[in-house]
Amino acid sequence: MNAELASQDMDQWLNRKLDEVLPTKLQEIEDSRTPSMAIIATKGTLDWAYPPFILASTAAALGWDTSIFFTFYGLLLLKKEIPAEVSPLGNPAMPMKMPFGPKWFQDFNWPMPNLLMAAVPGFEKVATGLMKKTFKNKGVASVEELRELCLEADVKMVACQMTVDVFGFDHSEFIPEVTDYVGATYFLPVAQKSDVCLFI
Amino acid sequence: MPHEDTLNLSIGDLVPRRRIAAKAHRDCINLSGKQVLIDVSAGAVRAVTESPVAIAAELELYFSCLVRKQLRFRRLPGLAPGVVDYVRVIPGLYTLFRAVTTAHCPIAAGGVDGPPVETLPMHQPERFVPDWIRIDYRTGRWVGEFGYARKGT
Repeated sequence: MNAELASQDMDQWLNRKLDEVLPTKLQEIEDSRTPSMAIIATKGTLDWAYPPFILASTAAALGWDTSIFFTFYGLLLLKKEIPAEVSPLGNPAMPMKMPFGPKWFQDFNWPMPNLLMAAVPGFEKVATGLMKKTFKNKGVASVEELRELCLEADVKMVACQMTVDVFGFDHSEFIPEVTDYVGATYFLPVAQKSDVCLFI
Repeated sequence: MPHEDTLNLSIGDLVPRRRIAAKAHRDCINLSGKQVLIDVSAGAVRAVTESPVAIAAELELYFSCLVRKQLRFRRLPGLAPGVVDYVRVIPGLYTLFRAVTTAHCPIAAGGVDGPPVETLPMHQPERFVPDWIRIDYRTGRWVGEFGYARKGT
């Protein structure tokens, strides 16, 4: 009987102590934990090249552990020279504006019929040039610079080996900082443990 | 950091090589532990000499929906005690690097400063310090650019 009472007292004391100590301890653990982010980059056009590098560099600036898994067309963002271009065709939300000339000229949104965009050779090159020029005029860091910032900040960049095989690439075509050539089974546990996981 | 001393903000300005080719000041400075190549045009050197107060060229890496590089030129009436982040480029011209983010977006944002910015609490700022800086003064305005990779060499 006495032993049972002593055990109950002990339980009560333990519960009180846990209520007292546990929230502070858990908060301490939470505060000392480094947040993490996992990004799956799947697109290789210029407009879609920005988001993974912007988010990764921002997270890294805040001290987060950040990893990017480049797969499918996203793999091209790991090439030594990033070949990303932008296509206004089938992208009606893309404003067609000129990055030069007087302000009224720059503000004018040029209506471009799909037929023109599809039929004029080199239209994508022109659109890519205009977009790069617009971004430069506004002081926006280029994709190459953002990638360099990410690398400086220790963002882990892994590539999908299967995509490398399918598209017939060679490892020598990619920047040497690619941490690893892996498959989904490698990256899924990374994504599972991350605080933020984004598919881009 | 108060912005009332801001002279102008340089966004997307280019400093052509010819502006820094002759009689310009070229040096390597240490910004947050990183060696940075800096070019100051002859026009900028002259403007600094003629300025009654010191000039600060603050390199801002602006983290927003996009990442923007901008230079904020400010008057430095006197270096406040404790402000040790400024690095002297030449007598009268100082620089520093900081990452910033939008403090809040007022409806009537704009003007010389755009939306107000605040310093982003960066984990390892030295990793984001640029490799090169170019500073110029032309048509009564301070302009500059900075970048990554050794384009400036």
